[in-house]
Amino acid sequence: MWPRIRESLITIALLLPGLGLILGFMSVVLYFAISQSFGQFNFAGDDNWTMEHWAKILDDPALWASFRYSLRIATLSAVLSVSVAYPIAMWIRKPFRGSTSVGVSVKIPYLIPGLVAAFLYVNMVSFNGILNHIFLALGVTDEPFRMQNDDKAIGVVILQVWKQTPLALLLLAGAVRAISDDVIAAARDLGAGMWTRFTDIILPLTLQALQAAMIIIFIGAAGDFAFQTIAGPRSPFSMAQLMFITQSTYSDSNYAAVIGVLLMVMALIGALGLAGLTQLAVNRGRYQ
Amino acid sequence: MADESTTVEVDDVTMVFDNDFRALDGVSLTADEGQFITLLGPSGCGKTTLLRLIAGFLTPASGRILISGKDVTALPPEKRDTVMVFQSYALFPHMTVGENVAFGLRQQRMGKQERNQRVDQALASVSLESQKDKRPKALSGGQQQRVALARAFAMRSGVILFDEPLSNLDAKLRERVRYELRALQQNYGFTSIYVTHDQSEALALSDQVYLMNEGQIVQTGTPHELYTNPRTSFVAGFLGVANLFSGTVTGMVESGLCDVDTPFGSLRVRCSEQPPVGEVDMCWRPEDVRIVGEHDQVDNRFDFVVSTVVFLGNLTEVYGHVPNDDTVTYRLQFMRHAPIVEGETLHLAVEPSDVRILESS
Repeated sequence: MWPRIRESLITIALLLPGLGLILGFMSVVLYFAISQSFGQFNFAGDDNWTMEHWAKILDDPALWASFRYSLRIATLSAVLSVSVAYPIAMWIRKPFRGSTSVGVSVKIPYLIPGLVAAFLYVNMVSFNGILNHIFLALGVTDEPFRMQNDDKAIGVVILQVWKQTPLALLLLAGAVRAISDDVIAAARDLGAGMWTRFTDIILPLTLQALQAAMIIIFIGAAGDFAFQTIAGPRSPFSMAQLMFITQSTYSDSNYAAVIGVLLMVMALIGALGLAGLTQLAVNRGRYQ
Repeated sequence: MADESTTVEVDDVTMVFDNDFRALDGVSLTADEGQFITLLGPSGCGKTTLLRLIAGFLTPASGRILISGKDVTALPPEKRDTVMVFQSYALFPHMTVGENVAFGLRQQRMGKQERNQRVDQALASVSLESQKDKRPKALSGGQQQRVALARAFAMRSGVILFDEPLSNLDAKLRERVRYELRALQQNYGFTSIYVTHDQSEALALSDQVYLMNEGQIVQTGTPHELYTNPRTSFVAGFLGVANLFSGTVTGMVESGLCDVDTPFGSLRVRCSEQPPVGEVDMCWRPEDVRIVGEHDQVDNRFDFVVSTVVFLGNLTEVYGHVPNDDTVTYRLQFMRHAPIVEGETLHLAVEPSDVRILESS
């Protein structure tokens, strides 16, 4: 008995410097955010446990608009990023002349900080930006038109997809490459066309990588601040943007904490929900 | 099982890969309805390439592939009336055994009831009905192999292509599945093209063997024809065991018989009406010799010094050399005999019809 306990203690002790630190930081952040949302750590007044800040949310249409907006951007970004990454992953699945260069090139966006990418994008789409200059020169339009901070947040989604596709590709390329050539050949030999091979063989066999990619991208996009601030619409705000403004402009740290907790809950439930829906969709497609 | 037996014709096919490697060079073959043909040869001889060309996974540089008389050279695999059993089994790991077998039938948009019936029949033919709801990884290698076979049988395709399907099984299981496969093929009558580098598999299964080397078919025939009448030293050496040696034709004795000077002395052998002149490649099989008495007056008698005796249960292998040259070792096989001891000199004889003059490779 004692040797087993001793072994477990040693294992825990060895894990503590790494895992312990991560768990510690996570717990502290969560504790602060949740406590603050219930009236603790009130930087502008006295601390007292209250549901007041949470109750206020139900009556705040601006927050729910932000919630829906962030949820939509995160979902779209996750779905579109993996949709772009899959064909590339399948294209570079088997080595060909130049496939390494292609693989490296499509990962370049991952190395560029989001803020820099957003500024580059704004340079492209602003009223006096490169695209408008080109359209005018080509005679596509008579006068420049507005693309920056568009109401539909197309710019933000483009930036998210551009930034997150390499991550999706990193996860999916490995999974797609791990599928045996014979398995795909067998499906083809049994009469499966390209789409069926994708839906019935490749998707189910790369489901875990797909889910992982979607979860990571969803969480990242849900909490986006940089792309939204520079290239996003003026209204509504993203959740992160709203949280920042609530804290910095209105100095309401408790309400900001509520938004923060909601953002975390949305990231968690949304990501898991998206992963679950993906699994359902893949299985349903396969058994039809 | 096949709805309609099918013929396969490969007509002067050449395959060149991107790196300019010529994998096949002017290969032709014909598989008649319900025939079991085997592509046999060493690794890299082009047999799997030829099978993949027939399946449609590769496109030849030149030549045609016809299935039931229809030119399918440009058709993709999914449009051909062939189904392949892969060396790796290529089962879909995320599907159950039943789903694996049903996969091809679903692509044919077959109704659920008929599909289930077909799956059950196919699984019953390989005795795997009870494993229908299991995933492939829960099965043994032999069972996975049977699932792959059932998946192919369920398609009722006219042609089944086998790419070394038994090579991952252990020796005993391989032998059992081999005979079951042959029985199923004879029962259902589908045309089979089978790739292997295992000569015993080729001999046991085939109606016709195509022996390949370096991208070409070097000899075709029934297993018996190929074994008893190898045309070249490659064929003699690859199919079974052969004692290969050189000889010089010294003259024709009578029609179809000539004398040849060999390391075993002068041997009288069967030859054509126009015997080859000068040095020739020759062989006899280890089991073709018999032990004779010291003073027996028989044709093709020679002495043999035994260096090693290996007892293999049902037969005994004897290694040794001719008395005046111990640099070349020959091999003999005896089913029943008096005890043979190492160092002993045996008096042997071989029938003229068992000594073959080979074409130069």
